[in-house]
Amino acid sequence: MKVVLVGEESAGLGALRLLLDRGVPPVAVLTTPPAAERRGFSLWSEAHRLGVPALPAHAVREPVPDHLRQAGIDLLLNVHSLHVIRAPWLTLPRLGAFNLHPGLLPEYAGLDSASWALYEGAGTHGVTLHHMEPGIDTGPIAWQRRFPIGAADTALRLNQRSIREGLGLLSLLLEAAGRGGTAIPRVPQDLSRRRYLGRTPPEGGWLPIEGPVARCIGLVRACDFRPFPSPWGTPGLLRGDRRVEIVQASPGTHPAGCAAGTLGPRHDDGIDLACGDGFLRVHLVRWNGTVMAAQEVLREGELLRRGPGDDAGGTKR
Amino acid sequence: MAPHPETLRTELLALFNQDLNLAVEHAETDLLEQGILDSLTFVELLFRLEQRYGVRADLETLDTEKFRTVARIAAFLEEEIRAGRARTAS
Repeated sequence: MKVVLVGEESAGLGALRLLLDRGVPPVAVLTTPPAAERRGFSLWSEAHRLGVPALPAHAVREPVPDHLRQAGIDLLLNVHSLHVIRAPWLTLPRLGAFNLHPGLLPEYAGLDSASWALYEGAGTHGVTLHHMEPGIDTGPIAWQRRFPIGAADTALRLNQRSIREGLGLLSLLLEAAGRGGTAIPRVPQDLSRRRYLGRTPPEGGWLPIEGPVARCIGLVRACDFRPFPSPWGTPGLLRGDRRVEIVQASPGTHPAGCAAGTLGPRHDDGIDLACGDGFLRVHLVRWNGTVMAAQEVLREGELLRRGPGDDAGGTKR
Repeated sequence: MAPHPETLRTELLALFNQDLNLAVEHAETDLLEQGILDSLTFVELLFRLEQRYGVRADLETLDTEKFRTVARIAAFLEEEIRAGRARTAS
C-alpha cells in the first residue's frame, strides 16, 4: 500500500511510527521543516533519519509533484496538520484522503476541540476519522470513537487520549484499506449540527466568576497543558491592578453567600473563591510569573475581579 | 541490579544530545523550563526510553515532574529497574 502522510506534532509522529510498524512506510511525509537555526528533534528530522522522503508541508497548497502523481498512491492521511490541502491532492489517492480530527464531528469542527469540550463541560470527547473534502472537517465520517471525560482530565490529558484513540482509528483504516477499501464506512455528517470553533479562546482570558463554578473550572482545565505552554493561555483575574492567573482549581464544598470574586477561607490545599453559584477551590495560581500554592498568595476577604476587555488569554505558558 | 545513577545520567545525556539532537549540557538542566522538552520531544523521549530500558510510561498519566531534569529521569529509571518494571540499557 502506498501512503502519503501529512502530519505535525506528536500525533503526526505517532502516525509515522504506526505506518512503519504496519510495514507501510509512507511514500512521502509532508511536514513543517524546522527553522534553519534550530537544532533539535522534529517529525521532519525523524522522517529523514528513518529514510522516509520528507516534503515541506506547504507543498499541499501547490500542484502535486510528478513523482507522487505517478506513484499510484492509495491513501493520503492528514494528521493534525493545519494546512488546507488543495483538491488535486485529495483526489490523488485511489482509496481516498482522510483527516484525523481530534474531536467529535460535526459539533466540534475547527481548532482546540479538547479545550472547547472541557470549557463547555461536555461529558464525552472523541476523535473522528473522516473522508476529506475541500471544506474544513466537513467530509463523511469513516470512524468515530467517543470516551468519557474524567473529573481529573486536563486539556493535555484529553489531547493525549485523543491521539491514542485516533491512532486506533488509523489502524482500522489501514486494515480496511489492506482488504481493498470497500469496507471503509462513509457516513455523511449532519451539517445542521456543525459548529466551527476557532483559535480565539473564550471569555477574553478572564475567569468568568459571575457564572457557575462548573464553567470556571471547565475553563481552567481547558487551559491546563502543564508542563507545556497553553495555546489558550491561563485565565486570570485582577488583584488590585495586577493580574493573578488561576492555574488549578476544583469545585468548592459549600455555597458562597458573598459577591462573586470574594476570597473565602484558606485551606491546606487552596483557598475558596466565590463564583456566581458557589465557591470554587483555587489550588495553584501564577503570581509574579511563578506558579505557587494559592493559599500562600491570596488572602481571605480580598476581592478579585474580572478585567476590562480581552486579555488575549493571559500568559501563554 | 540497577546501574549506578551516574551511569544512567551519562546514558541519558547521550540519548538527548546524540539520538534526539537536543543539547543538554548538565544533568540538572531544567528540560521543561528551558523548552527542551515539548509535547513532541517528550513523547519521543518516552518512546526511546521504552525501546532502550523497557519502561512504559505515557504522557496521559505520568508525573511530568519526574522528567524535569536528566537527574530526575535517571532516578525514575533506577526505581523502575529496581522494581522490575524496566531493564538496563539494551
